[in-house]
Amino acid sequence: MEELISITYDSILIGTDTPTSILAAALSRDGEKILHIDRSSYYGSIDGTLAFHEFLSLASSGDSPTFREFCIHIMPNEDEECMKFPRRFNIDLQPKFVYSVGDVVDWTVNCGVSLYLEFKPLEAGVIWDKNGIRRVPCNKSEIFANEALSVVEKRLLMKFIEFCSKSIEEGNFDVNVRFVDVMAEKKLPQHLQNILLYAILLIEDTNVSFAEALSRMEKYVSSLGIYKDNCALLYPMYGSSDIPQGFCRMCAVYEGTYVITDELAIEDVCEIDGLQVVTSSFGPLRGKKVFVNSVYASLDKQVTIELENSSFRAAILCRGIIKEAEGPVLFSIPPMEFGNASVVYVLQLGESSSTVPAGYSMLHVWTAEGNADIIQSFIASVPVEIVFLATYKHTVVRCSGTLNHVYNPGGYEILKHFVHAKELFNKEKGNHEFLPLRHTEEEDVLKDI
Amino acid sequence: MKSVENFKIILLGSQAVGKTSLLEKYVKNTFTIKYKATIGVDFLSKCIDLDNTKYSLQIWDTAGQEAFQSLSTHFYRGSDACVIVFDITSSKTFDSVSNWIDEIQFHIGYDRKIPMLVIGNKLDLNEKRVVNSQKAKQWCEEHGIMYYECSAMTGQNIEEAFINLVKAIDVFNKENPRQFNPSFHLKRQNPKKNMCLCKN
Repeated sequence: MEELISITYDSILIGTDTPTSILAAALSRDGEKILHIDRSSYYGSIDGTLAFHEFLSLASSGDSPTFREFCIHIMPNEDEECMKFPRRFNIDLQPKFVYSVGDVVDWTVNCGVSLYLEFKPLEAGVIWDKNGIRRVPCNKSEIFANEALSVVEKRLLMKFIEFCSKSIEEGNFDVNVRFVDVMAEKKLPQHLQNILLYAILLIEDTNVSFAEALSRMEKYVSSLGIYKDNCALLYPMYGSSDIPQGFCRMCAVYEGTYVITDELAIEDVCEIDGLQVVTSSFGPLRGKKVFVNSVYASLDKQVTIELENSSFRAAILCRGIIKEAEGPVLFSIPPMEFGNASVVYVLQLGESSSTVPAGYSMLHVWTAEGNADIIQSFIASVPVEIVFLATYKHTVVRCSGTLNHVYNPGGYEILKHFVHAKELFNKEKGNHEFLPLRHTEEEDVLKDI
Repeated sequence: MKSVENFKIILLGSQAVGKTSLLEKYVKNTFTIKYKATIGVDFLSKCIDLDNTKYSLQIWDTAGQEAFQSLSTHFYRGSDACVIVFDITSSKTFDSVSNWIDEIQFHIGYDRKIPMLVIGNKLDLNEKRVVNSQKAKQWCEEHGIMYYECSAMTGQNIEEAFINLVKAIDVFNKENPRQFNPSFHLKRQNPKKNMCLCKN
């Protein structure tokens, strides 16, 4: 305890969500003395993967500005396994995936955090609609082999993909045109548009530009088949909060100090003699800089909080699984199929991700807006039994004021978290390298295994 | 051909009991007398041969995150066994062994078992001993935990303790077979050239 209050830290970071944890690792790798704190019994903050009882207590506390309006729709029976062994049932507040190729992989491998993390290939490209659940063709040979598509449809689809390919090569397209308008112009029927937009490119916003869709297409194609055939995405084993936890460990390995406990009360931040002083139940903590995530935004007396967007989320524990698969599966429910105004994504996590025991699956649902009735109606179309259903509203906020606020973009795509952490890092450190190469003797040993 | 077993072993215990020293002595055969709170030590790997099997041990240090009871759940993930270290010259560190066991059970689940080894370290300071060897041994036996007293300075008993732990893991895994569940570590990918969307 004396150590905590006697040191002046280069940076104190408050909150352990993904961007804050990446920033902590990047700053400590750059030689800063870091104190990273969170008043919480778990790591990950708003990107946490909560054990069943932790989730219930978050839902009933109602004090999270990010997650609100929790409704626990079905309470499990007293003798249900999730009440007896709550640690076996883990709920991602916001599930995250990683594309197999790209900056996220490069940074993570480069700085050594990849040694701490394990991933499962995520089976995406699965459409769930009124006609049932089916996999959509993910590449050229699958398009040709697909029996559900007519010859005309196959030709249209191939022609469209060739057109996209050519557009990427030549770069001569209108950057402002909407992707949906391009698809309509090329006379792609609605169900093929749905496949491309929602099941392959995982785009939620129908106003997305053609340029953005093309860049996603490139990312998708280059990631395809790296770890498993027809899989472009990876899901972190044990839940999405293993990603921030991996970066926290990296920070700790480089001298970062961690105080993550619900016994810690963080009361106030003020400037005294040019230092930022965090008043806490552990005493005054001194730092040259303080970074806060959105949970702690109100520590800034001059904070302005902008609501950026909000979405509807649900976590559903089922007995049984919807689709037999080796690993996690991502379903895309196109708009209007079950009374949903916009696309609904459903991530099925089973035993293989080590988040639930055998015989169960945890379904994570997210969509722009929705309600429990929609969920009930699509779950009713599959032979699983709901044990537990929680719905909640997720709000992304952007905070600013006199402290350094770490923005959490939310959503499944982790790249944005890295990009924001890097922006904050570069603001402090100029052109110092973000998450530089870490060479350890372990690397050589691991190669031999 | 020999089979290879990969085990993840986690190292726990109060601050300054010599976790990192034990690890470095065991893996690198080095010892520094000066105490330094753990920094820069992540995990070390060691390969051993036993009964025609090659064992690759990945032994994880706490990275100092134990200081304020802030070890993450992540640390405990997928561990095959844990080693809890205390200092025979400090009764406080022995008393906390049961807290560590509680902490392990909390993270891995109270219904799950995992092979455990308790090491009473600093055997080279035997004359300053305050923890009774018989008592400690008996306590561990009652809890079904292996017990060894070692010295990270001289290296005494370390090898033997780890070899017996590995044997215990082997027995445990045979009795509690785990499902094969392949997962991946991220790999760096070389950027593709002339990428064409219509590949495959």
